[in-house]
Amino acid sequence: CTDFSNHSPLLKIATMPSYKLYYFDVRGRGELIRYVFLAAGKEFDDIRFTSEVWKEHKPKAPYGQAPFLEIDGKPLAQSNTIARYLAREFGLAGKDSWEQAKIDELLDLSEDMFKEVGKPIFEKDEEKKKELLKNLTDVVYPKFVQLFEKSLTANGGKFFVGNELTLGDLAVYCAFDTPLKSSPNLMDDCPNLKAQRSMVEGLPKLAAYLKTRKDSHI
Amino acid sequence: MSVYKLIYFDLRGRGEIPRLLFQAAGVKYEDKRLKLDISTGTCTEWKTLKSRMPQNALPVLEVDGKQLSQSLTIARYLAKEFGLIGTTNWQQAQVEQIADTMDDLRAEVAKWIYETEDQKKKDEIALHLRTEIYPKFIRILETILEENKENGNASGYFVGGDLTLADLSVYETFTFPLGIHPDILNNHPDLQEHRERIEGHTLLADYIKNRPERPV
Repeated sequence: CTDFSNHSPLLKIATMPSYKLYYFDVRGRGELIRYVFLAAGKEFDDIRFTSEVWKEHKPKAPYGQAPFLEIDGKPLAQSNTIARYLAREFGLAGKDSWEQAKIDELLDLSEDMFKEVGKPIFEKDEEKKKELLKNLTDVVYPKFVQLFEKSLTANGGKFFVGNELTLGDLAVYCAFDTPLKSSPNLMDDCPNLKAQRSMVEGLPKLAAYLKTRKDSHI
Repeated sequence: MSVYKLIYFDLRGRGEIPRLLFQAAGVKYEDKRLKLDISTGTCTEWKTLKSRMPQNALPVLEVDGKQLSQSLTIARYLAKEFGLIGTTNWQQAQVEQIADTMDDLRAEVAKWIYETEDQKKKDEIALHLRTEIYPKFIRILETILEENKENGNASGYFVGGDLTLADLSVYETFTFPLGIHPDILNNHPDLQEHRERIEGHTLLADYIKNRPERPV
């Protein structure tokens, strides 16, 4: 695409900001940000790297961590802050402060679950790892699917907040990417959640990406 | 004006940043504190209330009767309502970046708090906090203040030229660590000054001075 940004201040205002996402080549804490760009139909540079290459990028990261986003060269850190910022820019953040807060709630609840999902992955002791995995399937996943199903049902069952797709829908979809790999039936008792997942998967802007996306363990 | 009620345990914990926001905004609210039996660490009132909370967890903010969960969400919502989250989308992101980072620090400190069985492990965590964690987060915060000065913002507040949620998050997140490791800001005058700025703030001074002493 042609770069007009040097030609005139007016053109600079009219052109889209340039977005560069820096993250490892996994879903992890980068995937929700990628979903936001895709769902909004906004172009971005999806920079993915190995741990080795990360060493080169790390000095640029505001807090020394990934993901971070460069917006016209200005850096922004913290995956959920990035997701929320982009959602607000792209109109996926609800129609008022209250809806924004209800979306936020879902991100934070997803974060709670994400932290639990991470525990067995980072546990080195095999016995402890087995216990943590069992706790995920027996306690953690049932608890969270019920909370999300309740929230979705309370809003009418189709979208999590308001009556159109928001960051909330993307966040919950993203949160279950990893859990469903090891527990494919965990949504069986949650018809609305299951249907919402199919709805997100079927979105034209996401479907192609999801079909060809490389598998990652987290 | 909306009617606000904050429901949390009678601790600072995850309820204190919302409380500080109400103070900083000069907005009245019902500060419902569930009393704990300190000797057993249990809360009888919570047993009956828990199932009525949307996520079976606290804090919960009620706004004209509508409930909101998740402490960070509550903080961001109140900050937005009260104009304490920056004035542009970018500034809001700057504030949230800091608040999220402080929550990462809180989570690290919580590891020490929740290690109640193995003293050796607890001591290891404390050492890790002092040698790795505190320095890392202190460096992040000092860099922001330094960059602010270079960009002409010598207000001493973290975002823009005035108090925001970012300042309250930083202040409150260091309250507990300073209780167990009182010297951690000794060589960090900018952060000590920031702390004094918050403690001396017209709308916060009285509250901070007189708030109930609690273990967390």
